Order: sequence, then structure tokens, then C-alpha cells
Amino acid sequence: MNTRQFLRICLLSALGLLGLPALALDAPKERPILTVSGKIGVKNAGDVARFDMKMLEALPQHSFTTRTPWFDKPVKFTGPLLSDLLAAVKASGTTLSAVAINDYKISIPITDASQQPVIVARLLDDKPMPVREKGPLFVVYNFDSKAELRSSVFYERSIWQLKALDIQ
Amino acid sequence: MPTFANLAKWERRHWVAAIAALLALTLTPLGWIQWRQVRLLEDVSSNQVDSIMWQAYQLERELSRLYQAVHEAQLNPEIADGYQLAERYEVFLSRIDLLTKMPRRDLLENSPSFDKAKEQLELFTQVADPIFEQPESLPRQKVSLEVIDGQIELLQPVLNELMREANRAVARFVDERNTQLRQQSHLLIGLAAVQALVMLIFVSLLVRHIRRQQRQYARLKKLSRELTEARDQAEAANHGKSVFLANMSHEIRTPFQGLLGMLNLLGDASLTSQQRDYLQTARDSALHLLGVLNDILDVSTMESGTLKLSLAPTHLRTVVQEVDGLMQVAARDKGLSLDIYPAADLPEWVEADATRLRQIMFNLINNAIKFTPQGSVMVEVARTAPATGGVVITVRDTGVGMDADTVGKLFTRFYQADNSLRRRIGGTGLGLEISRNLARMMGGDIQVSSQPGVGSVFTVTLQLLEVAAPEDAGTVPADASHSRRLRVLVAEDHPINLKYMSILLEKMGHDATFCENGQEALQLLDRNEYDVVLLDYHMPVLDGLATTEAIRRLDGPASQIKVILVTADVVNDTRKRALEVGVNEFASKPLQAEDLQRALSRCGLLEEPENSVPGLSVQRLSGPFPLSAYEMPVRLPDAGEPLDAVLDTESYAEVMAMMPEDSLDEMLGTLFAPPEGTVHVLLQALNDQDRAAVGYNAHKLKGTAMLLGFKALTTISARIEHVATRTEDPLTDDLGPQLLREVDRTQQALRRYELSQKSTALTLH
Repeated sequence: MNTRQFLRICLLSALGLLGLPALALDAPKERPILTVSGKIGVKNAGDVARFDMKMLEALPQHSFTTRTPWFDKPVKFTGPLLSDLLAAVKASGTTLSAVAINDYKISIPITDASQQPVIVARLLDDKPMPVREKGPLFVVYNFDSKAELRSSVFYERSIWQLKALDIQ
Repeated sequence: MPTFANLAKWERRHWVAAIAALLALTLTPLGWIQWRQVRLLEDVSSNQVDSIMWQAYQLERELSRLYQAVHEAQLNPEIADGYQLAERYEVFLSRIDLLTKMPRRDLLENSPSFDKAKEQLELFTQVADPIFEQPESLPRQKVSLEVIDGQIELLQPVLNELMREANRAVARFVDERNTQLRQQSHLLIGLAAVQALVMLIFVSLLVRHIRRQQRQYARLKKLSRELTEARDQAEAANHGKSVFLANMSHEIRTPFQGLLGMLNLLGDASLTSQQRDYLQTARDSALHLLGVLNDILDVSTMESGTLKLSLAPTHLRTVVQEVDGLMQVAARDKGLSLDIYPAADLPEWVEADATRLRQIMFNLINNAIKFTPQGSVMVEVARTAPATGGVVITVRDTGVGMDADTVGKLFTRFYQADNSLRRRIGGTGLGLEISRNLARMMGGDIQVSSQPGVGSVFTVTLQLLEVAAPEDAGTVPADASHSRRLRVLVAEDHPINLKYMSILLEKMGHDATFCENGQEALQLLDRNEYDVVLLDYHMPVLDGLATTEAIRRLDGPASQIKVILVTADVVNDTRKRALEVGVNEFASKPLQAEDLQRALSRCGLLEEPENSVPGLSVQRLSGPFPLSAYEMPVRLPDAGEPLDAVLDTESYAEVMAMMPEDSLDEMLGTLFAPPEGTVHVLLQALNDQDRAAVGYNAHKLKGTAMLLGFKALTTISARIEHVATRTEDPLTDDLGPQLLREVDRTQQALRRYELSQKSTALTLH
């Protein structure tokens, strides 16, 4: 994992050194649903990067089905990988502070995103999630893939009604 | 538990099965419980059970926040954001699902407060949903906000109650989990106890098994010790038997000397043909008895392991010829043809015990003759295969033969092919056993093949080393008839043997001096000069061996004198010991002229007798020849005449016939003449109550009385001897008078007998 991290850093630095224009991030066209702030290289609204549903949909989509403590049966989550999202904004910190609409807050180490697929889910069982069903965004781990994920640490980090990420 | 108890019979698979069962029995529930516990932990962590309370709290809190937001919107409709208000409502709704759709909602579902809350929440959403559908205009719709406000106030106590219910549910769940854990702990303890118990049973079974084995081992050790002791005892008893037999041999052979000697001497006297016939019968019977005795002695010495072969260069052909010569008579008597063929390439001289070699051949040929009613007996003597260096003797007959069963038992002791034959033929049944033992001692064996009605073949193989001819072979003196007159000193305590030897030596033409024991012999040797000393092995005061030792310790030429030991003891140990102390030669009891002659010539005092072959010890049938009993035809003497109570006239007559009159008178003198006569010495000893002297003299008197046929005197002296030596009874005063009375009767009887003899002689003339 360290190697991969290292390679990624190398790649990013190389891009920076060559002075290539950073991947442009368009301003959201619809109502923004996610704000990314802090140590990021790409911004589209002053000091932060804002995303609407379309922009998130444009990122590569992934999905997995897993059991969770919040649903009485396994459910399918679909959305961009957290790592892809962070790459899109050129995040360079170690921790991201996630905030939900209901003001729930949790710190997630950035390494989580590189060590396993962590999805910023926008579809639950292939359907968009309204706020009343923990939408519109839900950071979720594939709990069924590893036993160590089935602990309160990762259940806590699975934040729903996500509205903002602050990279530190 | 009959099957458990016998652990010794368990095989490997039983043990494996038992251990596997034990492990399965104890480990399966353990594994199950562990699995249950893992599941429990999984359940707790993955279902976030304790979050029920958190969710209930969050639900109530979101309601409060919604309530607050609605209030703010009511107070400041201008700045209030309808979208934010709607979002707050949505967040609240999301909390409802979180609580009502969580996996462990069952913990809450059955409570009335939960049902009520669900119902109220449904009502609330029914009212609120349409109101929140237009978020932009919401802050300005005062009525709608008031409705929401009122609904929230209704909902608040319900959710409060739900939170408390959630708290109780979690507590119940914890209780339930604790109960489960406690049950499992109890189960674990129980299982551990069962495991320990089963282990204990197993260990105790093993301990019992080991103890039993130890006990068995101890029993076996004890048994083996007992067996060892029993064996030792048996060996001791067997040894005792052998010693007894050796002693008996001596005891029997001593009187035999007298018997055979006298018979031989009698043959030289002038006899009528009838008397000669009687004499022959007596000789035959005696020799038969001697044969039996020799057989028993051979077996006993073989058993005690003391029988040793005396190996010497032996002229094989001569041995064969001797056997031929002796056996032809027996074959001819029975009307059989006996042919003995020595092979042309037979080794001339071999290292062998000639006596024993002859014994084997005699036994086998004699057997063949015995069991062959008609036809022939054929004997071949040849070399075995060249390299092996042995001799094979084949005895073939056309006799009755034997079946396989009989052949199998042939060499067992006392076995005879046919009981009816035994009666007809007689014999000890020891001959074949002895022969085979001898053959084995000579590095060979005896094989038999036989067919009933056709005949038998006995094959003897012997390992006999071929040797060079001895140097003195062939130097047969030209004139062997000439012999020296020797001065012989004889130490012999038994008066009859003494008498016999004196006559024997006189007839052989030697000067004899007699003494009664070794001590006297030593004194005589000191005073006079002799050529040879004949010592009896058993003597009072100083026995043969001790005397020899003492002689060898003497000063001067007397210590170099030749010593011939006269003994009935055939045990090799005795001979070995005798040679060690310095005995030159042996002569067997009963002493024979040929024996004595040979012993003297071996000492270098006489030339070899002319009939001997150099290097060979020739013995005649009449010698102490180890022939088997059945060699000798048995002819029982006719019933004896009625005997006088005091005197055995026949015995006395024989003695009279044999002895010159002055010798007889002298002999009677040693008995009756006072004060030196045995009778008087005995009377004196009785008077002195000297038990030892009484025993010795009574024994002496008994011997002489027996020889002379003084029956009454024999009886009384035997009784006195018995009382003196075998019992602790006092020597009563009446013994003396009784003895005197018997002496008187004997002397009267003698006088009467002499008178009658004279009158008979007169009548005959």
C-alpha cells in the first residue's frame, strides 16, 4: 500500500512539476450537494470545491452489496470511490473530516480510501437516496469483505447525509 | 464395565477409537460453545445492538431541532430558509427509518411504546409531508407551521417514552446476553468436569492395568524363582541318586569280588561234570548280574556327566576281530550266521576308547541276534566319506523288525520292542540308550531303519581320528610265559577278599604280605622291601588315596614303589584324583587274575601276557567287562536243598574244596581262637561297651561267617552290628551270651558236618 501511495504522490508531483494544467473542475450546474475544503489542489468555488450530483455521477462508478447494522438485509451501494473523489480535488492531507446534514462529524484517515474500496454512495439498491433515506450521499465500507471492518470504528466512519469534507 | 476392565486385551484400534471418542465427546461441545460465543460477539458488533438507544435519542433530538427550526421560522419568517426547514424535516424522517428498520428492532417491536410511537410518527408524517412539499413558501405559511408545531409537541412525550423503552430494551438485551454467557460458562465448567472425570476414569483404568501387570510380573518372577528352586532341588536329588548308585555299585561289587573270584578259583579245582555245570550256571548268573549292574552304572555315570572316554591308540581291526570271535558263539547257539566284514581300507590305528567301542558293537550285534529267530546278521565296518575321518558300522539283520512307532520309542529308557519278548529274552532295556550316548560322545550317532517282518538296520557313525601306530607296537616278547616272582604288599580290610587275594597271588606265583589298612602298610613298607603295593580304595584308618599320598612322601626308594589301586568305583573322578596323588595303575573289583596281571605289566613289573595285542587292553568276558545284561544266557539254578539252621553246608563245602586244609584251619582260628579271634575281640568290646569296636568287629565277623556259610553266626553278628552302628539302643548284656551260644552251636555243627563228610567219603569209597 505504501508503494502505491508513494507512486501516486510521485505521479502527482510529476504532474505538478511539468506545469501541466490541473484537471479542470467545472462549477456545479445544479444545486451543490457536497463541499470539499482544506488541503486540496483543485477548487471551483473560491477556496472550496463543490460537487453536484451530475459531477459525482461523472466519476467512475463502483458498487458492492453488503450487510450493515442499519438495514435488516444486505443492500447494494453504488457511487464513486472516495479515493477517486479525493484525486479529483488533489487532496494532499492525512485526515478528512466528514460532516453530515444532521451535523454528525467524523474523522476518516485518508489511508482508509487507499486500503480498501470506500464508496461515496449515491444509489441504494440502484435508487437515488432522499435525505429521509440517509441520502443524498453515504460514505460506506464493504463490511462483508473483511472481518476487521465489522467494528464500531468503521461503522462510525460510515457517515450518511454527507454534505462536506474537510481535508487536513 | 466388563469390556473396559480388560485393558490388556485391547488392540491398537481399540485404543485409537477410545481416545477419538473421548476427544469427540469433550471437544465437540467445547467447539460448539466457542463458536456460539464468536457468533455472539459478531452479532453485537455487526448489529450495533447498543445503538438502539443512540438512535432513539437521535430521533428525539432531531425532533427537538425540527421543533426549534419551526419556532425560529415562526418568529422570523423573513430570514427563515424553507429549504433548510424541509431538510431538517427530512433528516428527522431518516431517523425514523434508522430506528424502525434496524436489524435488532425486534428488541423494541413488542413494546406498546414502540407501537404507539410508530403510529404517532405515521400520523405526523401524514400531516407534515404535504406541508413540507413546498419549502420555498413554508416560512410564510403561519398556519402550517403552527400545525407542525402542535404535532411536534404531541410527538415529543411519545418519543421520550420510546427512548426510555429503548434504554430498557438494551438493558434487557445485555441481561439476555449475560445469561447466555453465564449458561455457556456453566456448560464449559460442566464439560471440563466431565472431561476431567473421563480422564480420571481412564487414568484409573490405566493405573489398574499397570498394577495388574506389575502383580503378574511379580507372580511370574516368583514362579520363575520357585521353578529355579525346584530345578535345583531336582538336580540335587538327581545328584543324590547318582551318588547313591555309585555307592551301591561299590557295595554290590565288593561282595561280587568274592563271588566271582571264588567261582573262578573253583573252576581250577577238580570237579565232577555235574559240579562243573553248576559252577558254569553260577558264573553265568553272576556275570549276568554284573552286566545289569554295569548297565545301570553306565547310565548313572552318563547322567551325572562323569563318564569320560579314555582315548588311546586302538587297533581297529583287532577290536572287530575280538567282537567277531565273542559273538560268533552266541550266533551259533541260536543257529544264525554272523558275518562281520571289516572294509579293506579301514584305518589301522584310531584314537578311541576300545572298551566303549566294543560295548557299542556288542550291544547292537547282541540285539540283532536276540531279535532274529532265523537267518543272518551282517556287520560291515567301513570308513565314512573320505574327508570326514570317521567310521561307520552297519548292523543288518533278518529279524522281526519294527514298525515306525516302535523305532520312534526305541532309544527311550527301559523300552523294549515287545513285552512278550522281554519276558523271553530278558535284559535291562538300557543297552540302546547307552550305545547311543556313547556314539554321541564319540562325535557320532546311531540311526535305525526297520521294516516289520523283514529286518532292521542299525547304522553307527563315529568320529575316530586316524593315528600313527604306537612305537611299541609289534614288539611282542618272544617268550611271555616267563614271569617274575614279585614281592607284593596287600592292604585290604575285608577278610574274605584278603583270603581270596592271597590265594590268587599265590597261584600267580607271587609272594604276598597282608595288612588291614594303610597305616599298617606304611609301617611294613618302612621295614621291608616290596615290588608293588595293592591298596584297597576303601579302608579303615587310612584309605587307599591317603596311603598313596603318604607313600609318595616317604624317604628313600620306598616312595617310588608302584601302587595299584583296587577299586569298584568306576567314576572317572576317582581315577583322576587317584592319578593325581600318585597311583600308578588300577585294578577293578572283583579282582581278576587277568586284571591284576595287566596292571602289573603296565607298571613294568611283568611282561605283557602273551595273548594280548600291544597297545590294547584286552579284557575277557569274565572281567569287569561292561557287557549288557542280556548278552548272557540266563539259566536259573535248581531249587536248593533244605538247609540246616546253623550252617549252610553247601557254602562251607565249597570253601573246604577250594582251600587247603591248613588255610581253613587258620581262617577258623581268626574267628574262634582266643584271645585274637574276632569272636573274642567282639565279646571284649561288648563287655567294654565300645560301640565303634563292637560295630567294626561285628561287621568283620559277619563277612567271614557269610563266606563260610555260618548262618546263625551271620545273623547274630549282623544284629549286633545293626544295634551298634545304626541305632542308639544300648548294647544290652544279653548280646554277649547270645553270641557265645551261636558260636557254640556253629562249632558243634561244624564237628557234626565233618563227621558226616568223613562217613560219606567212606561210603563212597
